[in-house]
Amino acid sequence: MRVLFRKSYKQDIRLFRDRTQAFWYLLFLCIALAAPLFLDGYFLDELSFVYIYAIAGLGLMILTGFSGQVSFGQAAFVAIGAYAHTILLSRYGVPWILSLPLAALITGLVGLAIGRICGRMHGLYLAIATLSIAIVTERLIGGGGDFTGGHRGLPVPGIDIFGIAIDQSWKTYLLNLALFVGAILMTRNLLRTRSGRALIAIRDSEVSARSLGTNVAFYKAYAFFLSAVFAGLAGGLLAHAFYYITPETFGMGESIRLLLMIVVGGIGTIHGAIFGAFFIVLLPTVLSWVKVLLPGAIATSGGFDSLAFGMILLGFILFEPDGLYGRWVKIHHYFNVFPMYKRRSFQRQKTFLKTERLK
Amino acid sequence: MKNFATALALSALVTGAAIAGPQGVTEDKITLGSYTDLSGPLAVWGVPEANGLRMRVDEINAAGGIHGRQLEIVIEDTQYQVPRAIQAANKLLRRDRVFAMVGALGTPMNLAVMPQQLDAGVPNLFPMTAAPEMAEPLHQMKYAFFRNYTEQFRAAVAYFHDNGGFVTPCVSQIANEAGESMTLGVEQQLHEYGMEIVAKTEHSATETDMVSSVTTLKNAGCDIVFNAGSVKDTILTVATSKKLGFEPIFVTGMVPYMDAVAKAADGAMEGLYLVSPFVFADVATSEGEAKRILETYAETYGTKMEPQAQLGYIFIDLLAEALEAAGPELTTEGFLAAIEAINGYVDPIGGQTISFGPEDHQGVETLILARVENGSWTVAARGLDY
Repeated sequence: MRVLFRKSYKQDIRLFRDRTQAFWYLLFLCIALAAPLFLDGYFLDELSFVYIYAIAGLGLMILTGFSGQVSFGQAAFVAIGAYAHTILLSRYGVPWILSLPLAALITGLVGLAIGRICGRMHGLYLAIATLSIAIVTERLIGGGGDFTGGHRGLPVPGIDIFGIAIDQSWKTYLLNLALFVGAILMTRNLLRTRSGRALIAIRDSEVSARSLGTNVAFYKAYAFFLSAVFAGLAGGLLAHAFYYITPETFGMGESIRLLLMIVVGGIGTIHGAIFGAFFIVLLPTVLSWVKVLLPGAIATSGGFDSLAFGMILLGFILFEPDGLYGRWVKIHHYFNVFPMYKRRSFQRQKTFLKTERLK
Repeated sequence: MKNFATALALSALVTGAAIAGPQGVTEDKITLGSYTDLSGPLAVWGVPEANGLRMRVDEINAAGGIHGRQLEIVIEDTQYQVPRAIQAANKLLRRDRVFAMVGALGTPMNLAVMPQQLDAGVPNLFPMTAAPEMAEPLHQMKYAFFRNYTEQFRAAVAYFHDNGGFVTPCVSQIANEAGESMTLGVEQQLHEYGMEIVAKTEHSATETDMVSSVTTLKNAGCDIVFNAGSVKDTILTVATSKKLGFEPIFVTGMVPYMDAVAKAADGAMEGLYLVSPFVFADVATSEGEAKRILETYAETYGTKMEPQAQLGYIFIDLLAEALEAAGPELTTEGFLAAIEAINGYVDPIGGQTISFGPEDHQGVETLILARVENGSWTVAARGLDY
């Protein structure tokens, strides 16, 4: 077991805890960068999806995991990002390199406006409000006529960065990887700044956050803004992965999938969003391999995927509410302190009353 | 930079290998792919379709395959979600390396998958959607089975205009791309007669209450309602109208052409019309080969052969016809030429005529009119057109 000696305050805000940790993460990065050398296009495309969903998941993690605001409407922001990016690219001829951040910004501003309204709500009411945003956005895009392409949808042009066409799996893979790593660093950075700490303070107790001088309303809207920016970015990338976007693509099911993703991954952690993305995206793929090995009657029956997905989800909610990452931390800790592991180590130390809310 | 160069070289190698012969074809096997909805909102379409596809494949294999090759079909579930469809297609195109995609269900799914699929040189055959984009713009690898939604509704308007006529045509539309295509057909054909839609209502696929939409139609005094809808909403609209004492002629498209619709709501569907590019054959009224197929299906799968299963069966039958004609030296070009050469193929179940040509990538030639009588669909007229 390694004991960390704190010698300065700077240590608390370092990117990595120590050299060992830095080594592992850099190793992962190297493997991810080298993946096009040993994986074929199929796996690269699957991993691209993981990265894009992880970006959307990080956004939702900021909102739900860090600032404590449940959102059933994340897919609406993804949709706005995807549509803004596609419309800017194809209709106004904005270069890709500008169009993507612009789309993210537009989505962010929409998120800010929604956050300003929804920030006053809590729990169930907030869930209902965000759910209705998901539904309304889908209908609005569908009824947008020629501007949004209506229910028929829009074809998405290819990616072109300074004249270089990003048209092969390994190129899109590296692009998505770069933005994914950028999104992780941004989230990591957020958590060690004043605003990130304010978000966590609000999540843990609004009363104490307010009494420490945190502007609760501002930071709640800010969380919505950041979350929407990430979702918009993911939307822009997803649009390219889909080649063709329709409002149905970003329906309520997608919002719920995103929320499940961070719950399964482990709510309140950056790792959680990433683990969740791997889980959600790769599960159907793994299931389709497993299915081949099963007897014909099960393999060809329709509901197998949904059943397996539901069972795994149920298992997590019942036995591991901290998600995949929570389980990993516990296993890691178990070996770290062996044979002194205590279940109590992971019991929540502080509990707050649900009633202490501020308007 | 070295990584990139190696990756480039590797991918060039892979592409180079693919040119040598069409993917998915070996000495003794042809692999086909399909993605459909097996557990989502359109599973009522997807599950029987998958069974129908498999049934014909099994029959062909039992009879010795095609030019010594067995057929294999890999069917993936999309749950009617575009992301899942993209993943499924990625697997089919690059892991299973299918020779052709057949009967893929859903307009948004097909539109999303087709660009990369056509780039990979994999033909898109007979998708389970009647969207115009399945055949248009003309592409050498796109072949649609159905006449599209717009044409279905144009023919419906033309039929009722010529047979009895109407004064106040209305539309009840589902808010999705299929609904939009159908409404467009109504608009176009009415325009020919110098008429316009008097009232139009729109509902979402998830709506469970049609009272407001039906009331709008009732107050507008519609004498015919073109129901540009899906399955559940069609049942709801017609049943709600009956309850409210509003009984115009209801005409719908091919999507609700199912036994469950005809029997729904205790006879409320009686008299509902629909226009369809295929015929839903029934064991009681069919004979010969059709009867054999329907009975075999009922034996194998334990249920009556739904129209989607019949379609799945016909898709593979049609495809096998082209594979047969393409000869033992199978190439994608030869196969596509064989499809284009199909002329006057009569489907073994419903008896619809199917023809393709260099400029015509839409299979079914004419439409039929079906009507609910005593809780089941009966063909009221054949050869509809506009």
